Amino acid sequence: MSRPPTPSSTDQQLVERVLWGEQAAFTEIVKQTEGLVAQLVFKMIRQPADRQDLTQDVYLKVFKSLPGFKFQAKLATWVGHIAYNTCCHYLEKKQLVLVDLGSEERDDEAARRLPRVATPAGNETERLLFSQELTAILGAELEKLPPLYRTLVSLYHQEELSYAEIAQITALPEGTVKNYLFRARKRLKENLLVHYQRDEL
Amino acid sequence: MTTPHLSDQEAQQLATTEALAPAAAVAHLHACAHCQAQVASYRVLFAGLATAPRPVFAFDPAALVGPQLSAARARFPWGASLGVALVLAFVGGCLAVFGAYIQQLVRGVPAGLYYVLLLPAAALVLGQGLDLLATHRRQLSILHFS
Repeated sequence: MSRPPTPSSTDQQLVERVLWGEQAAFTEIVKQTEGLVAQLVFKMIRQPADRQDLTQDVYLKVFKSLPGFKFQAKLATWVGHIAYNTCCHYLEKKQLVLVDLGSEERDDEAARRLPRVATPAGNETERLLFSQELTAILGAELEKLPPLYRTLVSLYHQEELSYAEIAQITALPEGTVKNYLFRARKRLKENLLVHYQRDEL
Repeated sequence: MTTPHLSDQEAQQLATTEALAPAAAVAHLHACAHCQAQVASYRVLFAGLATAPRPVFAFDPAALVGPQLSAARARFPWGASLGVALVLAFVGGCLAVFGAYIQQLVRGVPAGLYYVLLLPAAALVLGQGLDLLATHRRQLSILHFS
């Protein structure tokens, strides 16, 4: 397993300032990690009404656990991990499934039975890509994925985190992260192709 | 002989970067229109994901959490400490008052019975303790990535 990324000196300074009782430093931590926490909360929790309470819970946990932070990872990754765990506990409590491997196998089987669809090439593809239509379809297809897959795809492709960082956040082995990401992308691509094929018909 | 097409895994890797892909896979890609279409569709997907709008909270998390920080700061658990002190005082008082009676009760008990009672109790306490320790270590490792 690769070494976790070393924390920046800013992380240390920020944490020290918070521990000295400077509330503005904690606000800075919130501002720095807000995007990542939003990705995790939005991708894992479907109920908008619960997101605010969960986010509050995440940052209060971060604040309480900050004295125990050992700087063995980036502060943002550590906050992300707390957010991920909080969302997992929420899903467990609500008895919701993080990743339904059974449905995935069914989808894979269905995808195998589908004929291949030629992807529009070159400029045509790029034109489609940046159209609002594709963005909307992609968003809708992303929503159909299980929460864990949605989360992994967003962390990798939108937050541009490395496999190692995603593994730290989710506490999954790096190999599992790669494998889940592969399956999620494949499923997403198949679903997109199916969508375009249906439209063409 | 026909060269097998790229696997989905190879297509995904090539859509991300050609630099880390095996030379044979890159060579096949340049010669195969089918695989080029596969890789192109993944590139479309990845570019679409990268440019998709990011979620934004409808509230300000800093403003939401700020007022609660002083209450959330870890404090000495005075309530729990007082509870423990009261329980200890009660047990101590009971032993002081009824100590002599308890000694009389256990005086005639054979030594074998002590072992029958004490050994399972000790095993139970040890097992619970080890379980607690393992849980604590697991939680700490999750938090600190150690």
